[in-house]
Amino acid sequence: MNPVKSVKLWRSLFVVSASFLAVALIGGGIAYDQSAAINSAFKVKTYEVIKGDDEGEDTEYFKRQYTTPEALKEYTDSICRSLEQEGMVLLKNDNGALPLAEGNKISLFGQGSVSLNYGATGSSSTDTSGIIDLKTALSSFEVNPTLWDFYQTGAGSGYRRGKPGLIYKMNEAPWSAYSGVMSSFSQYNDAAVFVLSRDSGEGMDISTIGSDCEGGNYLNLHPNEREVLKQLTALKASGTFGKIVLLLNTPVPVQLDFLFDADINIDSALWIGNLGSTGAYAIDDVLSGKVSPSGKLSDTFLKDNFASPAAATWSLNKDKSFSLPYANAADYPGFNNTQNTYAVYTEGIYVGYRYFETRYADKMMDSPRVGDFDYDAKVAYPFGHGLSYTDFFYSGFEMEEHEDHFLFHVDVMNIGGYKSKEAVQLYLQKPYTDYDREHGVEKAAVELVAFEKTGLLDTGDMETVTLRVEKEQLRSYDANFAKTYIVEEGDYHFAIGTNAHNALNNILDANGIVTDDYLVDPFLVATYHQDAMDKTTYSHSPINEDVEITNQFDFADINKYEGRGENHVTYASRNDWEGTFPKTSEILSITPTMEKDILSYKALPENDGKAMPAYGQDHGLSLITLRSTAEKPVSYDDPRWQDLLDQMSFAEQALLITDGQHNTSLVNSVNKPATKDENGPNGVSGSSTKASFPSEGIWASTFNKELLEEVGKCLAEDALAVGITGIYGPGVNLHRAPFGGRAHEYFSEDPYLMAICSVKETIGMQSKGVVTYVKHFVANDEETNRNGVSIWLNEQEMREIVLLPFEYSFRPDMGNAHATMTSFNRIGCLWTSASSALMENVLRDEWGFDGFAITDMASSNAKTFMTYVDGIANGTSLYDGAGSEKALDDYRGNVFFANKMREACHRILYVTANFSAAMNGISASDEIVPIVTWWQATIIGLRVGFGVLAGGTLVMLGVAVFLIRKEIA
Amino acid sequence: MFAFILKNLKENLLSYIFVGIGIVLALVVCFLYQATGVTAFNPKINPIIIVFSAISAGIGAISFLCGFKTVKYLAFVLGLFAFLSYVREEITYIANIFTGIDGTTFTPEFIATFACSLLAMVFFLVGAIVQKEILGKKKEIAKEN
Repeated sequence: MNPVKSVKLWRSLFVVSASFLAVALIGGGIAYDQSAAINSAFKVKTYEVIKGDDEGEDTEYFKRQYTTPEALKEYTDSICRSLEQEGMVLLKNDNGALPLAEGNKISLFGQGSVSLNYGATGSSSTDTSGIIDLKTALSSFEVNPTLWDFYQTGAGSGYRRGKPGLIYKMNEAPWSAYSGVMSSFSQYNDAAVFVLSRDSGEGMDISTIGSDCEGGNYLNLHPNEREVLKQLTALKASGTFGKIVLLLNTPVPVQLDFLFDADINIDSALWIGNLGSTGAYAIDDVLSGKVSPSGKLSDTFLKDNFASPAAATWSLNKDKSFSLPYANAADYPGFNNTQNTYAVYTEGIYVGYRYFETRYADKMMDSPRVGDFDYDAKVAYPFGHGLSYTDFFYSGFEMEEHEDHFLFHVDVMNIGGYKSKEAVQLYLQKPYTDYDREHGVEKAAVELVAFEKTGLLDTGDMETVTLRVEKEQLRSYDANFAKTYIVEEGDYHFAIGTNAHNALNNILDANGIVTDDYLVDPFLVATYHQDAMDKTTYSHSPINEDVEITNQFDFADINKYEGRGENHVTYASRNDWEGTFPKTSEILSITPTMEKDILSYKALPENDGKAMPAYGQDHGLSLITLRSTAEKPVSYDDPRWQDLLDQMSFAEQALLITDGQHNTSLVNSVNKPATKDENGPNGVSGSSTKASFPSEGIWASTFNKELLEEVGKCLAEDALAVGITGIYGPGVNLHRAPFGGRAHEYFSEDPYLMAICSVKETIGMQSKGVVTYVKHFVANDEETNRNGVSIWLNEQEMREIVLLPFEYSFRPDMGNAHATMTSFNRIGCLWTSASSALMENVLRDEWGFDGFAITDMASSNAKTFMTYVDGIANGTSLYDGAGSEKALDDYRGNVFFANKMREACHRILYVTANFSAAMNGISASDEIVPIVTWWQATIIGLRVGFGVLAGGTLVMLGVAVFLIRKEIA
Repeated sequence: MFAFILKNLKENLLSYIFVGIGIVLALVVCFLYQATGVTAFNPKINPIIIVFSAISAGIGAISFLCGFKTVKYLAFVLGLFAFLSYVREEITYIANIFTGIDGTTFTPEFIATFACSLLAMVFFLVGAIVQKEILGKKKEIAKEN
């Protein structure tokens, strides 16, 4: 070959191969970093089980019930439909407008009718392609095709809601756009059904400013929605439409002031939430009367969404945002936005109905300093409200006192004309005493303490419903004086009510205070008298008597935090509503102590008195041999666990702890299989059935414990079908205000309702060997600025409101959930995962949590505030990120940290061995070995291939240059 | 030597303009990354990015002295390595934006560093491609003589 051509050839080949080598090296590195995600996405098997000699042994520790795709699909579809049937709430039904007669001709209005909210974005997003549309689902009716096409392809098709510039906007069609389709109205005029939809999603809260809805607030009506509703009202008045039905297709409470406007006359309104995959069928079931609605509101629906203390603070903050930068943030240029923002939970315990009902009660009782408060001007529909097509009559209410609990019995009779279920709600009013006023203990006027749902009752049927209340539920947390749970002397009123407001009115009426509630019934009230103040019964852990319950979160209450400096906030108190209801933003500044506490990478103690753990020993143990059975119980403290842990190498421990992105890694030395874990509050990510369920508020609104447990089982069956044995859910953060961006993943504003929902779902899911990661522990109640935002709150709210759902979920005598996912935010200055008070003192010691804690998505924050050193040192076991065997090498010599790592591994191994279906098929004689996956082999091949090619071509290029130079010379 | 450089520059002016821009951009990457590389997503500077950017700039400079096309290609390969290393370093940040979860957006600092690194590599490559073959020419001259 011509030497010059030869040089060109080899040079070209070298450049190309060197370029590909660079891509293979660095791209391969990225792939290895994200190996857990890749394995999950491509459903790659990462290990193989080499079978031993235990043939015939039953290793199916958890059994699936639905093993064919068809049966599973039918099951998930039916559960989703049942949830929606029982969870949707009939808010109003004037003149019995619903149900509609089968065959009615109806017109669907609103862009939501053709772009329904089935799910949301973020961790609850599911595949919604192919889900049935509303027109098809409403098979009992004839739907106006002209109007349908108007929204789908006609003049209305250009109007769709979205999130341009990270602001939620509605972009609803104006009434003028309907001119071409108005003639069709008279042919489909039995009912105008308006679908009002709103979106929500992970990562940001609902827009309170900048939206195109009224006042810039996305939860208000869009001007064109208002105009359409007005025009429909006029058309109804002129006889064009028989009635107007409103479907609220929104996971969060839209402001419902318009339902009370004189120029909008809606007959019936249903809150349907997000629908999930088959929820649309349930709308047909309910509208047609095949199913009578039985859902009760899991949140208060308001006429003014900023009326609660939490939302009022939101509205007072700059940009109506839940969080603010510290006033002196500019003095800390080294701090980024994961360090310099905060929010104050000014409401104390008065979240949702606890505020509205308590201030109402105080007003009715002429308590001092109630101030100007008009309940009816604020509340559209109270917590627990929900109509049915029938009526129920309650009678025979009785209370039985037992040693540690009460039983309440009530007869419920269907006295209407439709077969239906009824959710029976029991509320408690604790005494608000001088002690409380003096020591700052807050008491809500009513709080939900028990509920049950009847079976399907036909006209004239009666069912005696029994509700159980633990005496523990009488406790209140006194953070200022007793510094533990107390039960005060006085009268404890229990009341049945059709909603929280009605229950309160029953109590008021029983105490001689007249209300204007025409449904009031003082015979649905029972009273228990506590003879003396009790500061001891609940001052120790119910799980471990040796553990004293006392203040743990003074560091998160800016009024008690030792480094507060001049900072001080006001929490809402019923002792002085006028003086304590938020009137301005709570402005806080960073103090020198706060600066120190906010910083990550805190110094580790060198030693905690323990010896450096052993690594790599051979005790011949396999993880499955430590699985506890009835015949061979193995406790968490069994000494063989220490022998098993001795078998692991430091590198294996580091990988197990740090590489937890939607999995736990396999550990060859102890024969631990890898597990696959996935997002799934509203449906399993990667589900083979594409099943998704309604927003969790709808689940809670069912008030049906059996159904919620069945949902847990259903999620587990769906997960197991694709090899998933852990689900990042349920979500039990709080609906503090209507604007939380992730409310669709959380149940309610009420901690008890949320707690029971979580307990039931957890029991159902874990019965199938799918571990629940109850999330987000804790106070991730908002989304905007969630990364590292400091949440400041008092300990009574922390324990009674924010932590209660977690407590119930984890306690072995309740939900017994075996995993939790921690939150992005801080409490006080500390990242939640880095708070030993939260992660160890409360979670493990007080509540007896036997599981492990994973971080929220760590990949973006693991190097900043969600650090390995801060989390693992304080009780975090696993990182939802891409880790490695070398990730913790910096801490190899630290005895304290080494023991913390060992503890983290112990917890993960304990849960996997005992509660995960990932152990199915594994026996004691089996060996689990890692395998090189196809994509890893491909990367290795590419690296070697291009490396050899680059090297070879470089040599050949050198030779060619040498030859040509020789020729020139 | 000076005469050689001048002659070389004259014959391959376009190539050296590209390489010169590449050198400047590679150096800008070093300074930009050093100044703005610490973010909420990355608390530490990755020295590999600076080292490879600097070396690619250095090799680009060397190409002014020796005039070999291969040297410019080498600057490109190293620039590519620096660029990919930067992408790897920022991968969680980029992923965070594309998943759209937290409302995070691309910062001007990131865009500038990314663009400079990408363009430096491209300019080295184009500079190498448009350079005339020296060895072939030398061979022809040798033949004529």
